[in-house]
Amino acid sequence: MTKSKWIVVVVLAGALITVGAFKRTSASNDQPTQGVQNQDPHQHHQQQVRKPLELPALLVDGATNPHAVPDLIAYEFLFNSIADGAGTTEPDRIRAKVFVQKTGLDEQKNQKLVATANSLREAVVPLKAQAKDLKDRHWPTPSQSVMAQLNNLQRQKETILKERFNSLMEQLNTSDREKLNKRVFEIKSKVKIYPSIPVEKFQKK
Amino acid sequence: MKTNFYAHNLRLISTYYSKAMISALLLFTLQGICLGQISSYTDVGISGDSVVAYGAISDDYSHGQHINTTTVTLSSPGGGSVQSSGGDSASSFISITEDGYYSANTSHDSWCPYTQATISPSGGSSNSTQVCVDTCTPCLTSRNNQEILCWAALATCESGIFGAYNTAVQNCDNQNYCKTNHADFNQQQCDQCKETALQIYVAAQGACATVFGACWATRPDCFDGIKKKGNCDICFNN
Repeated sequence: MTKSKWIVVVVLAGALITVGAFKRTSASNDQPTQGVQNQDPHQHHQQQVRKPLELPALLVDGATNPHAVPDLIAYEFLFNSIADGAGTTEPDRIRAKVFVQKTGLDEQKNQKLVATANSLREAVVPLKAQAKDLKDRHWPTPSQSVMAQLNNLQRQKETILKERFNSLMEQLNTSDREKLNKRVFEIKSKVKIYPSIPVEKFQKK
Repeated sequence: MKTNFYAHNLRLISTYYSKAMISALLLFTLQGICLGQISSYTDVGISGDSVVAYGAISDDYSHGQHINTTTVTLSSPGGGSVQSSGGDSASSFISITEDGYYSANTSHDSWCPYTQATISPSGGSSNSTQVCVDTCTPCLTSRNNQEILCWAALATCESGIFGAYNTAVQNCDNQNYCKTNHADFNQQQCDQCKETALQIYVAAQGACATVFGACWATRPDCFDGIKKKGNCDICFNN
């Protein structure tokens, strides 16, 4: 075969492989990362139906092993479930009232708890926004620098959570501390932790 | 010349496809986390005559892609359900119209870039709570109101008869037989007058107590084994 014929064969083989590759990845490329925020729920549903994902096994099931759920996760759920600050809708305010009563503390202590939850939310909102922005721009292949920034944001959130919870505990007597710890344990029993899902899981399909 | 022109074009096309092939292969071998470790929380509570479900997510900033939607579905024992969606959390409400177990499920959707899939960690994130139509609270309210009414009637009755007794004793004191400096003073007759007033007062007190007892007996009985609290506990009369 001449040199030109070899080139034609190579080009045709390349074209076949490339078309196949693009067929598998075209939809992903059509969906830029920035579009994530504006996903239509119906569109989500359709995509889910089109390619259902086999969910990974639970990493921790709080119902069977509540002690395996980290304290900070339970604190976060406790505070988020009772926060009723700015921007809270009326149904959410009712829900917050119902969940704060689950602590079993008196009205005055509950007010302290809610105030702590609201101030925590205000402190965490900017961290969350920064994390979201970083993820939107760099996921799923964040650089070391991006990961360092995300780690730093996460540490900041954890520090705030710890500080607020400990400060709250200091204001309570022994009996009330027990009540709050009991509630934290109850929350842990209703938490489920899922492991990470790597991108490769999809690429193998 | 013509052959060289074709060869040149073919080389260009070859280069283009080679680059495209490399890009495609790079996409195939993309390493990264689609969704990081996440924690999901579902809880149910009772708000008066409604059940409220709360579903929320907590993701480690350094672990995974953020969640786009959280959906919490609250189901009644009869099969009815309500659904509500939010970002990191959502709350659903359903009126308690029947006794039984109300359950909640939370699911989370996250679009995974480069993969053509929405991840929905769900299932498992549910719990249920037994809820009953609250017939206890209205009964206790009615019972409490009736008690207030009975005590008010007793107080009115008591103050009325006590006033009447005082007036009667004063009337006795105003009689000449009760005035020590009067010629008609008669201690025995005076005592008799006051004794009669006291007897009437005691009899009237009995009447007040009877009225109070009758009123008290008409309070609704909430501890009848039928009425229940929202959490299905038996209703007690206190």
